[in-house]
Amino acid sequence: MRGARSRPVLTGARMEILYLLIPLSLLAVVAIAAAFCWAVFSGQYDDTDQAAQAVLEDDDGPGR
Amino acid sequence: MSHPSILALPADVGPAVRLVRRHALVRLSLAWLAMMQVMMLAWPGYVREAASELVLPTLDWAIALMNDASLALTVPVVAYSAWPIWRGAWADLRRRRVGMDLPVALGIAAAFVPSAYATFTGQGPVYFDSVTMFVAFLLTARYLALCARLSVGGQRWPAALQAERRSLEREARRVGAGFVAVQLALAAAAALGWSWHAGLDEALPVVVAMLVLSCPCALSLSVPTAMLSLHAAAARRPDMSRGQARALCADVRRVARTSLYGSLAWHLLMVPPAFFGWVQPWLAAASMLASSLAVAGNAWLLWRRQVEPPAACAAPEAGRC
Repeated sequence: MRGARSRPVLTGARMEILYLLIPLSLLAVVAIAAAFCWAVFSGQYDDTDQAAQAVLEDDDGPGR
Repeated sequence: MSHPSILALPADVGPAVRLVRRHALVRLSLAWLAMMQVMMLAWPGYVREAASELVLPTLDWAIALMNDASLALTVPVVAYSAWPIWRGAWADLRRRRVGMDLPVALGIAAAFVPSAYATFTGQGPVYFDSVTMFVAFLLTARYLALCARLSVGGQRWPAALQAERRSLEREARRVGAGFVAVQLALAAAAALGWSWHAGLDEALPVVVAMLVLSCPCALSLSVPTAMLSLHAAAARRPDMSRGQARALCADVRRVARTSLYGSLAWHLLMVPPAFFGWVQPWLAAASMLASSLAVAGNAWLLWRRQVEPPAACAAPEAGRC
């Protein structure tokens, strides 16, 4: 049972999905990079201390 | 907050510095993003040796496809992320001196150009994973140094501290320049020896590893990080006596020199195995990051030691500690 014949053989026909998957992964990288560039250049990473405090300083009391 | 994080931008910097820091952050993050993708795509290349004859044709086809994708991911890293390195190396060349950027730029070029050629011809190994990893690790160390400089930069320094800082920086520069010159000579010797002995294909990874190891990033981090700790500690304790300030200075001097000579020793220790081809380029890059992080950690320990006196000290006000 464990001879060479029973081993699954990769065939080109099944692997051709890579022609789709690899460009797709590159597109995902480009999208992530673009989103990150936008976030940095809009200043979201400038003052990380302030961003960490902001959620605590939010005035969300009931009387508003 | 009594002490801001060094990763937060100080409020008093101008828009030009702000832009420099944003670009540095984008360069760094793109390099990390590309590195992780390229690493994944490089994996089939590593298992090829162990693959059976049955799958080899399919595997080679997949490897060629993945090398194309790796090239596409590495080009922006080399062109955009590594831009400050090319600029620095060019400035070094024009001024006819050996700086930190020259060996780094040589290492990137030596790994990237043959890999790109191998991708086009479909022959030979590629080192895109080493290139992106090296750039990402290097930029991480530099980003930490930039943040340290920015948070220390705008502060006023007492004259005594200023002199201390200058003399330590001079020492670090002298050690770094000597180290780089020796390393470049050794890399050239390895290139000649290996290509004469075993051929260009065998020589390439050895030379890349040697050039990666010749990057004095940890050395150049040692003084700024210790100074940053000094500054943070001094800002925490404004009522320091002269004696305490002197003790702090001595501690900083000791930590900065420990980091400087410790990372020098570590790099020198890695050189002989690299010279004989036992250190893969990616391992050299990881070792470089490890020494940079060790230097940063050493400075952080200094800060902890100075800001939080040991709990065993029962009577700090009596001055017995």
